[in-house]
Amino acid sequence: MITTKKIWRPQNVTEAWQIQKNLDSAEYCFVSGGTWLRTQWEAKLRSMPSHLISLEQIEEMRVVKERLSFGKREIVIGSQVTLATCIQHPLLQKYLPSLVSACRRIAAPSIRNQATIGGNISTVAGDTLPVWFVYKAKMRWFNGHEIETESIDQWILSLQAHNFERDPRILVDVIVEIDERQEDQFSFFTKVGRRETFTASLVTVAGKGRIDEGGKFQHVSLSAGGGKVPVRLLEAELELEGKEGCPSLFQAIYKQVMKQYNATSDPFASETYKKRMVANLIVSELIKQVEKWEAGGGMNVARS
Amino acid sequence: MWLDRNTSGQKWKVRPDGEEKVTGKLRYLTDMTFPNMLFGRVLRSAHPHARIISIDPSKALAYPGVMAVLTHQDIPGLNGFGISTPDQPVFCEDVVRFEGDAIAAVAAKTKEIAEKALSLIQVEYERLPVLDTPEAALHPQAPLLHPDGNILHQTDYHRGDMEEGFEQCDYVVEETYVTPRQMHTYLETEGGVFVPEEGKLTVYAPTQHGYKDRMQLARIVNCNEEQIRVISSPIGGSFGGKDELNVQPYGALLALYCAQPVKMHYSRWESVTAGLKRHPMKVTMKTGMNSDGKLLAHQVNILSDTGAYSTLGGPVLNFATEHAVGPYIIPHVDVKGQAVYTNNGVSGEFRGFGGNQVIFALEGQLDRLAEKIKMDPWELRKKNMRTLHDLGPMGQRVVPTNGPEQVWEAIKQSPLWEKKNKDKKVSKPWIKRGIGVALAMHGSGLGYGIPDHAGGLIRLNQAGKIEVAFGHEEFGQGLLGTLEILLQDHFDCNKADLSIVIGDTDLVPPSGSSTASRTTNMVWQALNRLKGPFLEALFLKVSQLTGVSKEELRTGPGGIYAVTKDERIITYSDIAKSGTQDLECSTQFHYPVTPDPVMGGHYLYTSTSVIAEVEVNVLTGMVKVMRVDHAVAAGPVINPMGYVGQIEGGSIMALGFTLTEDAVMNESRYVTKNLDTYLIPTIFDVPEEHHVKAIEQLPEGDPFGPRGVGEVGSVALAPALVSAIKDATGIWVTELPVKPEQLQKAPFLINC
Amino acid sequence: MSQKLNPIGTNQETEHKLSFELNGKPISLPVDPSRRLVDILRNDLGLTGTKVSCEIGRCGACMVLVDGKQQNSCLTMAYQCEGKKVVTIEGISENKIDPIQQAFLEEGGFQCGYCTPGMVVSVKALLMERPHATFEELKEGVAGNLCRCTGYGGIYRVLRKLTSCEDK
Repeated sequence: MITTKKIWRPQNVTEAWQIQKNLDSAEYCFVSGGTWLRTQWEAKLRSMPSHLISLEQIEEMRVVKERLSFGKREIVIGSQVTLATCIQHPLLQKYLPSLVSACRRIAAPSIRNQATIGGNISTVAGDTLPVWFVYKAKMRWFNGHEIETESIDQWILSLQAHNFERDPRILVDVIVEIDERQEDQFSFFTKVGRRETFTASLVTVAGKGRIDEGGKFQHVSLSAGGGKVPVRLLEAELELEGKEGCPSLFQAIYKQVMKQYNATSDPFASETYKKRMVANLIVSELIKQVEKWEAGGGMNVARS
Repeated sequence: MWLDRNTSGQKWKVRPDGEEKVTGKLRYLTDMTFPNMLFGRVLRSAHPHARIISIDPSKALAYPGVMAVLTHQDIPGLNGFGISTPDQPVFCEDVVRFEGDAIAAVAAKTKEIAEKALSLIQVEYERLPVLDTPEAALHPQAPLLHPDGNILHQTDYHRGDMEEGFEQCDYVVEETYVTPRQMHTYLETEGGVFVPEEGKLTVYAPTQHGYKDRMQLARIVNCNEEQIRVISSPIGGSFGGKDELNVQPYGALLALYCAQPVKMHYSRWESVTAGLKRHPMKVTMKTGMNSDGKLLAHQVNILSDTGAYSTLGGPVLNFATEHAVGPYIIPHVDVKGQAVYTNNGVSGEFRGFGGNQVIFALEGQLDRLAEKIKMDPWELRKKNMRTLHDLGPMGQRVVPTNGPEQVWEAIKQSPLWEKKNKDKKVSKPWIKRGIGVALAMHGSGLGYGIPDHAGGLIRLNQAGKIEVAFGHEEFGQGLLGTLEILLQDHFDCNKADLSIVIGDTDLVPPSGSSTASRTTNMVWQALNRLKGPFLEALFLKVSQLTGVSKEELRTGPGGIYAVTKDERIITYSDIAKSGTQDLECSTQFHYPVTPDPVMGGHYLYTSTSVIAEVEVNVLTGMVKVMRVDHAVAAGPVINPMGYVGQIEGGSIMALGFTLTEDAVMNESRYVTKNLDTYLIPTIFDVPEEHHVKAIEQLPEGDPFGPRGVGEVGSVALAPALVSAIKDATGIWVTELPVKPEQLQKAPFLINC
Repeated sequence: MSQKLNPIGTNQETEHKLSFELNGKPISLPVDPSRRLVDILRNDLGLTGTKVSCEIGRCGACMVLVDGKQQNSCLTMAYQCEGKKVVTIEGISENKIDPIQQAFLEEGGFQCGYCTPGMVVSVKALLMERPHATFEELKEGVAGNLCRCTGYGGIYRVLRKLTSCEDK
């Protein structure tokens, strides 16, 4: 028979956990905005379980806030915060501009009104992931007993190790440490899809770091999405450290990224194309940062 | 004249169907519901090619709420449809030939039950080898998809002597061009409601030719055509795609079987799987010229993937064959074409009708030849261009046209023309800019050898309105607006004095199809024929009623006036009150056809040229279109808003064809199943700078008036963009949609 | 078929009625809480101005306002409307033609008209939030609305017209 679905709307994360405890994993799923899940159900890529546990009512997971932790300032982004909220949030605009850029490039405004940060992360292919990587974000999960903290890298690694099995935990929020030196820090996010907007990404790249008074790259972190999972580009980061931007450095970075980054082919784009795109985009973004730095007066210092 | 709101003045008019559309009040046929209505669904094949061993509907039939499950055994008439040849089974009996093939149809009390019932129909298949390319289907050992083999249609046009021609050539270019399986992507998917009444079936379903649907449906359900009434407008987009039957056979059979109204409305997934696409073509051209740049020889081979069934695959190939020669004068020509059946989705009628594919190839040849001889490509075109009285592309007599020369000259007024040979400023070294130009001549009407009837009717109706009835359809192009403008021009009356009836076979005369850029011309001709006799009858009547001599009468707002005075003599409604029986005139005629027996050859042509600027990011290979300008020579502009809209819309559809659109198939199964992977342009993919220059002047004495512009905006953009990409990057693209990978470079590698 | 929803945090099963405000009027319907808003509007309530085309939020034909913001009604489930204000195209033009609709009429911002209600709703959402929205902001606002007929020429003209007082 055709049966109706049961919708649960817990008010806190413990209630949410209680509900699923009595259900088989195939019988339920957690739902945030539901935009991605709905498309999966409609396309018959997965079937809608008989119980939907909506997390949208959990107030504590719907806010972006600043807090102090062991003397350090952090931004906490609740998993139920919509992408539209992220785009407009002053804290994020100030401290996480590349997250704002990433959110702006996801789907279309109407979907961003519904879709959440938690949902974007859960798909594992979400465009915000490279940004979390470069900001070394920590994810906080509720495991039924307590809230546990895990870095984004760890989470992706364990997902891979477990063959992308569904993580049974509930993502509560994502935490990024605030870098007090905003003034001379750069960050970027770039997405390329098969058309200008309103489409899935072929690749995404994100990065942050700074160029010191001597024109040298410092503490750069880089990440790219477009393969099976997004990755940090550690070798390229190392290569950049303490070096001045010049054609030979950029060539080295290009080659390093080509070496380290693994993309996957799809019916629309080959692996090589995506790899080259990631390498090109990273280098071009670095060049833009050097140009900006030079335009900002850094040039005089560097050449004197 | 650059055609826009300002230059159009009073002729730029709000469409008569506008208010209902912008307020959402308009009921499309797929929005309709009827009391006691059931929901119909179609079971599609699980495989692109298989033998059907058995079909067992018993479980579905037993499911509560299921009212009918029909298969091939339940068809009273012909188990087939197809405008040209009815070779597509309504329900497959022994073999399925593509994944959209229908096996059964279900009617149920709710959509959910109908969906459930589909999963309960048990079909046993024996899989057969899949022919997923025309090459595979042409292989001598390939299984035969149809009794007459795997070739639907072949063309062979020949003049001169190829060997001799190429011998005289100093420059020869040979290239193969590949074009995609483009999807129409009408926003309203196929659907409708089927309502059986006493001895009659009313079909509310979009089509581009109501009478043709009626004929095909009567053949399937085995009744007289008059027992079927087809109501077919308004339509949420078609572009050729709803010309052929889609939901109609299933809705009709289910409604008649259940004796209840049945609604069908395809999901996008089903529309993608079952619906028509543009023919993917592989076009090989070998073209040669002498050292003066005179084209001497042109050899063309067209391989067209027509998919599992024919629909209009034959006529599309004929059109491609003719347009492979274009507006150029070439003494030695050989064009051969094959439309081949495969297990892929069905290809069929689509805006441009085979022209888009070969024009991309032909214009590409001209550009490559110009590069070889180091001549301006635009000058090379002019050197070889037809003039006013030249014969048509296949040597047939055509209505004299200097359209190609007109558009060749007119496009130079685009600001891009000036910019063309200058250095283009770019923001970053990895951004490249380029400008390209292309030209085309496009035939309208169905062509020699195909019945192409037209007709219309005018009357003063009982409500006192000047009423016209045409068997044409409104799928957005603006037919209603065009008719309103034409009628107000003819009769100098108010909008409120008019009644326009279309899209209902019980109320309109046969007018032929609303395809092939023919409708504007046909209604213009029809009204010219009807005006005289109608006014004669009307004035005679008014003269009898008022005593004013009929020579002194004219029509005007609200009624009849004396020629010399502003005072109204009698209102239309007062005339109607005294009887309207003699106030009806009708006309039947044929689309103008070439006297020369060249199958599919056209007589009336429209011409266009396009100039476009692109920006290519070599880091990603992505192409951004910065500006597009069109020049169009199609005779007088009747409805400027409609005209501009057709060119802009056709052009951007071609932008998709060039850059992103391809209904990808893998082993004859669609990979792009919905609009998340099948990408049509968004507003961000389209330049705001997009202008249309309308050349209204026809050669002296031309009696045929305004040509339609439904297709011509879509045929020449692809070669212009590809030429612009070449200008920007130095790379020639031969396969559409453009693969960004092909344009990508690695600029940060030193010495590479 | 019964409609069940377990209220927050308990296991009690009660008959569920969806309550929300539709085009300014309160409405209460017995409905499967996972039912899509687009189906409730089109099939249950006969409000067919909201169109259905791709069903995965990739065309914008089903756009409605939920609490004043544009939302795809094909991606919205009944329970997500609970207690909210939903406005459809029918609610935008209840009394008279909106200036947005007037601009579409005058500039040729549509042809077949099937994407038009969604387009109008998207522009409306933007202008409600920012009455002085710029051309670029409005353009961004219709990024999720596909139009196959116009090639966006008419839509561009509409957006220009609506922002002509704002853009210098």
